Amino acid sequence: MPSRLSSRLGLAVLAAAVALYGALAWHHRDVSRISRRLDRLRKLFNKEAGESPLTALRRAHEMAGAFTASPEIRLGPYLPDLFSRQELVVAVHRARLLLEEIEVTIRDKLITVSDDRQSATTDLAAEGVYLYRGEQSRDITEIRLTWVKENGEWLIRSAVPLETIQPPGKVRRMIQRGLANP
Amino acid sequence: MNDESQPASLLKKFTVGENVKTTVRRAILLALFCLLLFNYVLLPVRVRGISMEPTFHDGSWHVANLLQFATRGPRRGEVVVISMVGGRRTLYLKRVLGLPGETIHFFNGQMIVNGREETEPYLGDRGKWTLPQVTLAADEYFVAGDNRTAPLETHTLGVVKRKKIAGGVFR
Repeated sequence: MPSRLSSRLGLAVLAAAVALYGALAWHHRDVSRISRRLDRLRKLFNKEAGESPLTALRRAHEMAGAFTASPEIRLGPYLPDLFSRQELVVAVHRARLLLEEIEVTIRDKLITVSDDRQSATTDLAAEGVYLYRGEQSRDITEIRLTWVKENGEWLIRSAVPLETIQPPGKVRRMIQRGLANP
Repeated sequence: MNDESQPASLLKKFTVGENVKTTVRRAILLALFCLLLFNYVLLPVRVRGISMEPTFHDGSWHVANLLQFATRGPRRGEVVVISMVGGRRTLYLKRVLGLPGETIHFFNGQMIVNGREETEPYLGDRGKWTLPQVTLAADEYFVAGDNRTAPLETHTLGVVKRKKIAGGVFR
């Protein structure tokens, strides 16, 4: 009898484990979808030397498709503020033509989905390595993305920079002035 | 015991020990200990970039002590690691220059805290930074890198909240 009892107990534990796994997978499905979308965006943005203008345009369009029709994109002093998919396509396409190589790596990310599962935020730190006129540069950007679910699809509504280290006002103005008068 | 079984038993003694169960238990405990130690106490970090030259060089490896400020706040001159958003795989490495409540500014490369000139022996070249006064709140620190030859606008420096300072660094 003890062997029958232990086998029933084993089955019960197994069933509980499967149920727990299912519940966790269900709970994290939105996080997984957002994570996959982010990874796709990263791959689309990366560029190897010798990319054709047509491919650059196709990739820019595909990237813009991950955003809402009227997104709010403010990525700091180095990029203009953007408020539509079309503006995004133009900006991404221009960046791809300007830079010879782009390699973005998402170092850290924290995805938080709202209780009603209709919106989410992602705080991420991304490292970019760029090749411009044969010279390599590297920077780390901290960004907060806000997502909304439209027709079951997660789209980015806004992208704003986060600054763990806040530069003094003078430094911020110097950066902006430098960009205005390159 | 024959001659062939002796090396085999020696090998067993040096690999799994005399009691396999005990050895496995010890190995699991050791793995757990290392996992906790190297995730929550001592974090290996690799320097990327030149903002902390000449103290820390690009590509060098160091160990961050995540418990260094568990019982006290960072002091002026200490090198700290600062958590970015989203996790702890990427950290800023900076030196603490201004403490909570202080007023700090730079004039022609000279750091001035609460109106008093401070010496910075760790610098190779103090550069020519000039920055207006910044007054720090009760939970704020002013941090910058040691490479003062870099132009201000290309250097990450400024005010950071206490909660973002994750620990100190062993050189």
